[in-house]
Amino acid sequence: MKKLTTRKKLTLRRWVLVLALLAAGYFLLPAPFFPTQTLRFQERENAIDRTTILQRETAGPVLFFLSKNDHVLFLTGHRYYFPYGWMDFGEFPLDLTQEDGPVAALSVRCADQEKNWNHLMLFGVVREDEAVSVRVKDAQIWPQEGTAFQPGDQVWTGEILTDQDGLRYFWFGQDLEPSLTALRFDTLEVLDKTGQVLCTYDLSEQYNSVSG
Amino acid sequence: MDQKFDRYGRAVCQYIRHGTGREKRAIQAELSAHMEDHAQALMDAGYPKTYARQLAVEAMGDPEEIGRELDRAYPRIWLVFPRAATVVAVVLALLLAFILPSSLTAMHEMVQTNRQARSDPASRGDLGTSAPLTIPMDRRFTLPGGTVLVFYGTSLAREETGYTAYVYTVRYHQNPLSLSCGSETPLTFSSGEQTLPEGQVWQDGWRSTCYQCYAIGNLSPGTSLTARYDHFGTAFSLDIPLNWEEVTP
Repeated sequence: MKKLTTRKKLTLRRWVLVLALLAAGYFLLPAPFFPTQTLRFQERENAIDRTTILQRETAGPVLFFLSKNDHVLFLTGHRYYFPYGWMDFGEFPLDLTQEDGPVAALSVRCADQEKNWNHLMLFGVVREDEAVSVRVKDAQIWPQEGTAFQPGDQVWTGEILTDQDGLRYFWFGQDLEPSLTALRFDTLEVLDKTGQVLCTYDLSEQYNSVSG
Repeated sequence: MDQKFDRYGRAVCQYIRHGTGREKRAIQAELSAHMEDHAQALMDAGYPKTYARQLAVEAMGDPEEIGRELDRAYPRIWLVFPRAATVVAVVLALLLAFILPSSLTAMHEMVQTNRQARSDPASRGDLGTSAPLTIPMDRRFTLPGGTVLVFYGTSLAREETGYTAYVYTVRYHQNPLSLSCGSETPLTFSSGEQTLPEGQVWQDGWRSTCYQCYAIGNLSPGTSLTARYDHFGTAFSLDIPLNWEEVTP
């Protein structure tokens, strides 16, 4: 009788076959296996060099990366759809070369009406050495009726973080009431450790939105 | 196979809880072969055949003890692993079989389109502008991310509101299998220091190759035209050749 293959050898051969099939799928199929593949796609879409991921957060059904290179701070959203893989759910580049001021920022609203998910994020860079936090206020909402949400009460704060290259940035957000079509903060203030305002930034033209 | 040997082998295998049929048959064959060898040695020593076979079976020992020892060598986990791999491999193979043919066809088309953009973008035609390319160009700029922007021609047309310049570009990715050639190129056009208003843009192409034609209208005869790109730290400008002497009366 032919010598029986040991179970370990059999297991090894079959999992090597699985790996070979996965490799074939990775190289031959358009569906991204990993969200970082989608990030590279989004970089190409925006003609920017490869970015380094600073932070990742999951909000609702979406995985977000905040990444950067020398010229851009890049917020990207990624959502998994079987069997298509990881798909692009918004890309928001903040050009670090165009603005010389002490702060630059974007606000991004993400929503999925089917899943009743609504989320607002703010991110940006700060060039004031004494700054430790940022505060956003002067909220505008749509629709303005039929909601218990009081825009006048809304003041959000976020901590300023520093990456290994010395880039000082912030990224924070909150879920919103699903009925709100939009929430926009018009003013961003940069604060020192005593809470004193160091400078302000007009956010009213920096609003973006993506829904899926 | 001798019936005594066969009964012994089956008695041992009943204690192997997670052995496959094939494995149990192999074990029975191995045990029988061992007992055959032992019985043959006894027969060579002068023992009668039937007695030699009985002694060979008895010499093996308690089948339950042997069976439980062998059971430890065939744990369930090493039965599950290869079967799980088989299931995963079958699912992957089916997925590939369904998706791969269309994917390979698309890849072939992407490579062909990308190759055309690199070598002969003008063969793509006028992109629906009705303004055939009259001045060929070949100026290439490599953008961050691996996209190459090529200015491959211009034309000038007299229209009701004045003269319109058409600037033909193509973007292709250095990797022909890339799924993206970048979103619409952020080009601006100027004449001297004056930025000219954005006009219509015609687009064509797919995945790793994208054609665009920019129409810059309301130009006065003899106007110079410069294309500028300034995007996320990459900036360049290009003087656009226009054949005014052929178009103006």
